[in-house]
Amino acid sequence: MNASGSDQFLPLKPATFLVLLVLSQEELHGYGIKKEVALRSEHRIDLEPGTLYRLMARLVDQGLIEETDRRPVPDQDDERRRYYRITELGREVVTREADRMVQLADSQDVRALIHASGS
Amino acid sequence: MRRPPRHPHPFGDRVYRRLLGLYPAEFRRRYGDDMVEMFRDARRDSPPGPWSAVKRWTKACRDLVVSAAVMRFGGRRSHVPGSAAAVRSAGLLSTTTRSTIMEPLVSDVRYALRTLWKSKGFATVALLTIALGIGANSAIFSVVNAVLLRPLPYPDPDRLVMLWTQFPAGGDPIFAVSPAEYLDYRAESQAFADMGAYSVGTATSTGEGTAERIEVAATSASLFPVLGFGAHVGRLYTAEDDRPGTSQVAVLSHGYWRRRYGGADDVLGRSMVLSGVSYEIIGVMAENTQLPGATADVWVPLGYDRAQITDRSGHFLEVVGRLAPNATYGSAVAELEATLARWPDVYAGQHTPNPETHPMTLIALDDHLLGGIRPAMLVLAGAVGAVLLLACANVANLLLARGEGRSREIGLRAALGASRGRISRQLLTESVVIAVAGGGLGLALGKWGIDMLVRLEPGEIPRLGEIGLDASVVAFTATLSVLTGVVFGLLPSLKASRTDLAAVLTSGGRSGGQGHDTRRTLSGLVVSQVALAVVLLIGSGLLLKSFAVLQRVDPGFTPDNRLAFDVGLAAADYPDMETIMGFYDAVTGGVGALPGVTDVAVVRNLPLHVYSRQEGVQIEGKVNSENEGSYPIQYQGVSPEYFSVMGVPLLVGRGLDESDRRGGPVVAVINETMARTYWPDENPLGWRMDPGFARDIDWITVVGVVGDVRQTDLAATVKPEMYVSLEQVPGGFGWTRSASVIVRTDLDADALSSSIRSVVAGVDRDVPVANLQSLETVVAETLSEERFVMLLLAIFAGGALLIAAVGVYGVISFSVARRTQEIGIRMALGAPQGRVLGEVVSGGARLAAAGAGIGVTLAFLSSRVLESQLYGVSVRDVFVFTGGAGILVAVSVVASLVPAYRASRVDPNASLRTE
Repeated sequence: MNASGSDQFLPLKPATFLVLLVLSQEELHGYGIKKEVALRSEHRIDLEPGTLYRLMARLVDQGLIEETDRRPVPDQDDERRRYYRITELGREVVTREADRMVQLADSQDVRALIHASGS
Repeated sequence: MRRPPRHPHPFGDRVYRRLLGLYPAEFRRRYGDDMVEMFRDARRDSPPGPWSAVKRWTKACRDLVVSAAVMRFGGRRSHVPGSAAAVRSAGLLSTTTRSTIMEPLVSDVRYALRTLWKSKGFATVALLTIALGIGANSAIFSVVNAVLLRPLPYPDPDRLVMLWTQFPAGGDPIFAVSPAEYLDYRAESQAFADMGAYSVGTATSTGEGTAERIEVAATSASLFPVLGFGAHVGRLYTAEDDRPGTSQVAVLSHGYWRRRYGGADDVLGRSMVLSGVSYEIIGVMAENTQLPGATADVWVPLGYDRAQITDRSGHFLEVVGRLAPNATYGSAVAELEATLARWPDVYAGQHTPNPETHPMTLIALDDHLLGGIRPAMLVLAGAVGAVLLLACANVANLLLARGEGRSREIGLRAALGASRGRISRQLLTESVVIAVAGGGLGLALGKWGIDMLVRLEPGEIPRLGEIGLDASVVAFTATLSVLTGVVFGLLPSLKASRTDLAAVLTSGGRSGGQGHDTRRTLSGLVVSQVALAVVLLIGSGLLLKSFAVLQRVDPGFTPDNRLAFDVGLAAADYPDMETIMGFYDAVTGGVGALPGVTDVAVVRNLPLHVYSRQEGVQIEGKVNSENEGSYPIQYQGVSPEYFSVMGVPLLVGRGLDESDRRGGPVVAVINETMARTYWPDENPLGWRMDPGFARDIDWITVVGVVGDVRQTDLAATVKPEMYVSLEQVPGGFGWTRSASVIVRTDLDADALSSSIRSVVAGVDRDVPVANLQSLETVVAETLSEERFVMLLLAIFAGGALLIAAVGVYGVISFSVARRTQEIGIRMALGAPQGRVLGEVVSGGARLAAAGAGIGVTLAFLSSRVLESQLYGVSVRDVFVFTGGAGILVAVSVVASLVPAYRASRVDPNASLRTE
C-alpha cells in the first residue's frame, strides 16, 4: 500500500472516477457535475440527484472531495448552490486510478485483443 | 451560510421535497436543498410538455426510491450518517428470523386455499371478477407499453430532436423544411452533433420481375449516423454518394430485399430501375431499420449541394438531429431563436424563415411521433384502471358480506388466542390468494384481449405491431394482482379484526352488532362504484357522440359507388405532357368502357390523404399583410370530369373542361373557403392570381367556385384550395406523373380489380395498379383511430355498468336478507306488499342517485382530459351527462327489483319462526 492509503479506494467505479475527474479540473455544483459526467460518458452515465448525492456524501466522508465556499463566477451564479472541489487525497486517488487504467490499456493482453479485432 | 431560496417553490418542487422524506434525516438535512435545486435545473433544460414531465418524474422517483432504499437497508458500503448499516451488519436478519416470517405465510396461504375451496361459489365469482379486471388492464398495459413506454428504436432516443418550419398564416402547426433551410441550419448549428433529412415518396420499380409501386426514402447520408443505422449486407451511402451528379446508388430495406430478391447474397452491384432511373444496389439495411414515422422499401441519396441551390423555398424535407454532447433541448431552442432572428438580414430579399411569418421549431422526436396518440392512450389506461377499481369494490363487497357470515369463525379464532393483526393478515392473505389466482387467469384473458385489440386496430396507431405479452407485461400483471388483493382485502380484513368477540359469540354468529356498520360500508362501496361507472359512461358517451358527429361530417364528395386506385409513371417513359396525358386518356377510356363503370376521372391527390402541396400566390390588386404579401393556397390537378365523378357541387361560374389545355389561358376553380376567405365581399370570378412558385405560368384566372372537400381528414379545417386542369398545373408537369384514378361504378373493388389491372397493363405493363379500394373505405379509414378508442371505452363502460349493477344488486340483497325478520313483522302488522317493494327499490335508487351525483361531479371536473379526443361535442355536453347518470340510476333500480320482489314475498310466519 502507498503512504497515503489511496490504494484502498481502487479500483473506482466508473461514476466515481468521472466525478473525481471532473472535480479535478474545476469546482462544480451538483448539476454541473451531472452534466460534465454525462458529457464525458457520452450520456451513458446519467446521475440523478439521489444517486449523485449519495455518492457525493460517501466521497465527502472518505475525504476525497470537500465543500467549498468559493464561487467561480459570483455574478452569474446562484449563490444558493453548494460547490465541491477535490481534496489532495482525492486527486491522488483519481490519478492512481488513471495510471492503473493506462497500464491496463497498455498491457500485452489488451493490445493483442485490439489487434485481433482489427481496430 | 446558506440562504433561503429566492424563488417561491412551485408545486412540483414541493412534492419532490416531500419525497426526500424517504432519506435518513441527516442526509436530507445536508443535501436536500441541493437535490431540489438540481431537480429544478433538470426541469429547466428539458423539452416542454406533459410527457417530458412524466418521464422526468418517473426517473426522479425511481432514483429516489432506489437510492433511499440502498441507504436505509442495503448500506454495507454506506458511509452516510444515520444509515442503518451498523444494525444490518450485526446480522439481525438471521435465517431463523427469516423462517419465522415465512412459516406463518405458508400456513396462511394453505389455510386460505382450504377456506376458498370450501366456498367455491364465492371463490369463483371473486376470481372471475378480478380476472376480467386484471385481464383488461394487462391488455391495455401491453398497448401502452408498446406504444408509449418502450424506447424508440434508436440509440439514445432522448437526444433526437426534429426541426420543423411553421407558416402561422397557413394554419398548419408544423410544416416541412426546404433543402436550403436544412443545409444552412445544419452548417450553422452548434447545438446538434449532426442532422439528417429525408423525404419519403412512392416510385415505380421496374426491371427484374413485375412492376410495382414501392416506398422510396430519399435521405441525406448524414441521417444514418444520427439515427444509428447500419448495413446488413454491403454498405450505406456516404457523403461522397450524396451529392448532385454522382452515380445513382440505392440501399434496399431488409424487408424489401427478402420480399423482392429472396434475400439473395449477390444483390450487390445489380441495378434496379425506380420510376425510369437506373440505380446500383450497394447495400441492404439492417433488419428493423425504421425512419421516424415512415417506412421505406428502398433508400436513395437526397443529393443536394448547398452551393447549387438557388431557390430557398419548396418545403418537403423532414429533419432530425442528434443533440451535441454538451447541448440540451433548451440550449438548442435558444440557438434556433438566435438563428431565426439573424436570417432575415442574411437572406434579405429571398425566401427565409423568420420569427414572425415563417418560424422554425424544435420538437423532441418522441413527442413528435407519440404526442398525438398519448391522450387517447392515457384515457384508455385511466378507464381500464377504473374498471379494475370497480371490480375490486365488488369483491370487497363480497368479502364484507361473507365476513358477516364468518364472524363466528373469526370470533372463535380470536377467543383461541389469535391476535387482531394475525387475523387481519390471514384474511388479507385470502384476498391476495384470490387476486393472484385471478391475475393468472387475467393474464390468459389479457393475451386473448391483446389479439383482439390488434385485430380491431387497423394500423393507424404507431408501433402497435410491436405489442405482445412480454416480461414487462407479466411483471405489471403480477404487481397489479398483489396490489389488487391488498386493495380489496384491506377493508374487510380490518373490519373483521375489529369484531366484538363477546357480541359475536353470544349471538350465535348470526347477527352481530356490526350489521348496520357493514351495511354502511357496503353502501359506501356501491356509491363509489356507481360514481366511477357514471364517469366511464359519460366519457364513452362523449366519444360516441363525437364519433357520430364525425361520421356525419360531409367529406365534400360522394363516396358511395366510387373506387380509386393509384398509378405512377416513370419519367424516362413519360418525358412530356403529351405522353402523360396520353396514358391517362387511354386508361380512363379503357376503364370507362368496362361493363358496370359509368364515369372515370383523374386527380393528383385523393381527398382525405396527406396533402403536401402548399404554396403562396399573389392576387392581382390585393396584398396579404400577414404572409409577406402572398396568399397561402393548396392546389390540386384534376381531369375535367373530376367534379361530376366525385359529386362535388359547382357553386358559381363554370367547372374545368376540354378547352383548358396546355398553351391556352390557365384557369382555376377554387373552393368555397378560398372564395369566402380571400374575396369576402366580392365575386371571385375573373380575378387573376400569380403563382410566384411556378415560373412557367404568369396568371391563373378564377373561373368557378366549387364546394369544400376535406383533403387531410374529416376533423381538419378546410383551407383555401384551387383546382387546375392536369394539363395546366403550375410548377412543371412532372408532378402529374403520380395520380389517382377514380371510377364511378355499381360494382365493388374485388369484382373490378382484375379487369382494371388488365386495362392498365394493356396501356403500359410497367405501370402497376396500387391501393385499389372504395372511397367508402377511404372515408372509414380516416376514422379508424377514433373508432378504436371509442369502441374500447364503450366496452369498458359496459363492463363498468354491469359490475356496478351487480354491486347494487348485492348490497340490496344483503340488506333485504338482514331485514327479513323486520319486514316479516311489519307485514304481519299489516304493511302492504307494494309499500315494502317501494321502500327496497327506493333504497337502491338512493344509493345510485348519490353515486350518480358524485360521478357527474367527477366527470365534470375531469372531462377536459377528453378535450383533444372530441370533435363537435362540448366536454360538458348536458345530454351525455344526464344520460349517463340516468342510465345508471335506471339500471340500479332494475337491479334492486329482484331483492325487492323477494322482500315483498316474505312470509311473516316463516320469518318469525326462524328467530
